[in-house]
Amino acid sequence: MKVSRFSSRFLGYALFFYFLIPYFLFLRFFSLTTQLDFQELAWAFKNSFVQSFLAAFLVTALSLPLSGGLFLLPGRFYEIVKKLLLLPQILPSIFSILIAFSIWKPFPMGTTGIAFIFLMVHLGFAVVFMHTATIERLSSFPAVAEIFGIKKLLFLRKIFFPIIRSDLLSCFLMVFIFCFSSFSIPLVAGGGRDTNMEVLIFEKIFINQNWSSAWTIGILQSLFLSLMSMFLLSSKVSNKNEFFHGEYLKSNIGYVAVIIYLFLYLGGYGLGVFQALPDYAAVFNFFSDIWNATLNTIKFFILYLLLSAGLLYLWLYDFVQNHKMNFAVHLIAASTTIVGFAFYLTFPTSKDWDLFKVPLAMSILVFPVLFKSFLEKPLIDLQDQVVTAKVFGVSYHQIVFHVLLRRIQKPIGVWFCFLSIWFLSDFAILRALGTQTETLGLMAQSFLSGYRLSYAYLLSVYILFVWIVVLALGYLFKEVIRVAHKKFESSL
Amino acid sequence: MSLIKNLNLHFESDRFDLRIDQLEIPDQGVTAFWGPSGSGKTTLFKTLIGLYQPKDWSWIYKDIPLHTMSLSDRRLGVVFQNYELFPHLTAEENIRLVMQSRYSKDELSKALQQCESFKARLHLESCWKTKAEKISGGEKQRVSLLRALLSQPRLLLLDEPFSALDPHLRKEARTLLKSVLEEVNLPVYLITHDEADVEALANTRIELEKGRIRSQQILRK
Repeated sequence: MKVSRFSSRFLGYALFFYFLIPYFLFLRFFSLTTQLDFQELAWAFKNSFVQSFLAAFLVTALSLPLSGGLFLLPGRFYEIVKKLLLLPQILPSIFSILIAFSIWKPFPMGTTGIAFIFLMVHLGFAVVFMHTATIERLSSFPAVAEIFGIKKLLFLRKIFFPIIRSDLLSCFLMVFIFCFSSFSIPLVAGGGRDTNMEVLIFEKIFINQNWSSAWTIGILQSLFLSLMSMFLLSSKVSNKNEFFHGEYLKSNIGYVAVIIYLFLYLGGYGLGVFQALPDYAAVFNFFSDIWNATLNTIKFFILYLLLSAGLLYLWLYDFVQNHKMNFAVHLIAASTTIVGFAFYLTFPTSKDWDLFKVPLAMSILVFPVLFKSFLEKPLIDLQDQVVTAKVFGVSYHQIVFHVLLRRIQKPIGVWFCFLSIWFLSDFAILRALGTQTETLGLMAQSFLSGYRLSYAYLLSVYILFVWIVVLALGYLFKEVIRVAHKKFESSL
Repeated sequence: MSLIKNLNLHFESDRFDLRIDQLEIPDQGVTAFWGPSGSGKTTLFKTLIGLYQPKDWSWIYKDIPLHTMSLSDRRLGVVFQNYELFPHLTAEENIRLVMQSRYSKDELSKALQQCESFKARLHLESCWKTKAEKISGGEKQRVSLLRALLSQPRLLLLDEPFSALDPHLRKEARTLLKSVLEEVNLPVYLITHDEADVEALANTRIELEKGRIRSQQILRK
């Protein structure tokens, strides 16, 4: 398995450059400009920063007591609540926007409203993140502290916070980056006020047609966010000892807050759907449009899935070959507008070309962030096994299939769940791409922009239904492959 | 005497149950709970320190119902198998944190003198200011022992205290532990699978097998 230094690195570089394609395309058309309206840029940066900082700060601060509430939940109920807490982030922003509009009337458009939706979207994720981090890092220390009579406050100050500090910072940075690079929420909830960087780029492109400025602002934003993402600590070693939470980590207030949060989110959605039900017949008038949009969305999704599977294989191969994660894992906050517009400019605007552009743009935007969220850590944990397999001369291809993919089936399942729902209901990237094909996400956004909230609600229920069907088909496919593989092996 | 009654624990996932109807344990000297893997030693250890809470059991130690108490109020000086030192704190900070919690301000100065004397006995000067995550296995074991000794314990509970040490260090560690235990005169429950530990340290041996007490034997007075 002797490979030259260059060829072993070629795949890594190629993958990294794949995720930078939109920037190279932009470079072809425009050069960077220094003729920026710095006052406007500073204003948009300030808005992005304030909205993201406020949301990230509140989310991180609230995540600790709420994660303590999870320790009070009994076994099976705990697992259900954990999954429900992840829903706001699994579900695309359109759901959270709808819910926020139902909960807070009249909705405060601008920074307050945007930060509120960010808070709703990311709080559940942060609670689960901090809860998992506590279990992984603290191990039996809470119980040890109790055994030795260390008082609760002393425990929190001297043991809990120092150990958990880096995870708090990671949580803050993750939420900050997600919010800073968000396009869809500020677009809808900004209401023309408190424009953030992403919306400014969008306006520069589609309204002012000042493309060089848009490109320069996009680059500045991407550099800023990539820099921030590098502070995210990913390869910390978990404490593998058994975890005992004892009494110190439990929080009654957190328990109540978790219930309120879920009640507001799920209840808000349920209420919205319930109030929209009388418009059922009116939405039925759009039946043929919805059916066509469904077929288009599924068509895009299948292509996108094939592309993602190919990328995943190459990424894992590169990981095995170079024994480190591809640097593209840091490109978690690419600008939706820049990516969309690069392809909009480069390729013809037609329904046929949409089949090419949409999967490509979605993979560039979503692949690194999903990889970082669900697959990076499990893979790092398998690094020693990769070394062992290499020592025994197992081929890289075999390592990918037999050592990695078989061990990360569960994270891949979660990855698939996110990937599918994000794709099925996305509208932001499709808008930026200037897509000519109607999809479910675009239809929902059209209803929302037209203040037909009830139609958007009913369509969102339909999107959830399609998602469940897709997940069921995905599961079925996996089982068929598994059984076929088993039969093939036993026949040998 | 310390008396354990009606200790029944069942683990469906491991198909294992620990059952002790009645067990009298001497309240002085070293009592070794000895047995192979899967005999229930660790389950018993976790129950005694309060991590498992079986129903309707009792553990009376010198007329004190320890089974009704919280982890903290049981006042057990525990040495864990993996030592469980707080990794981001120095050896000194690990000890002081516990002392701060267990002693009043008036008692603290006397306890600190005791700490200095034990520190020398246990050869901890060189690692005293080093973070626990950076010190050697032998040093961790001695810091962990010191933490247990200085926690004003009613009794000491040692869970496989030498198993993480290299074989050539174990003999030396046993000798050191024996001399320290003779000095402090505390009852000790030693959980071990190693017969050499029993031979070197124990006054009483209680043998466990498949979650049951198989035998109880006085080895030396």
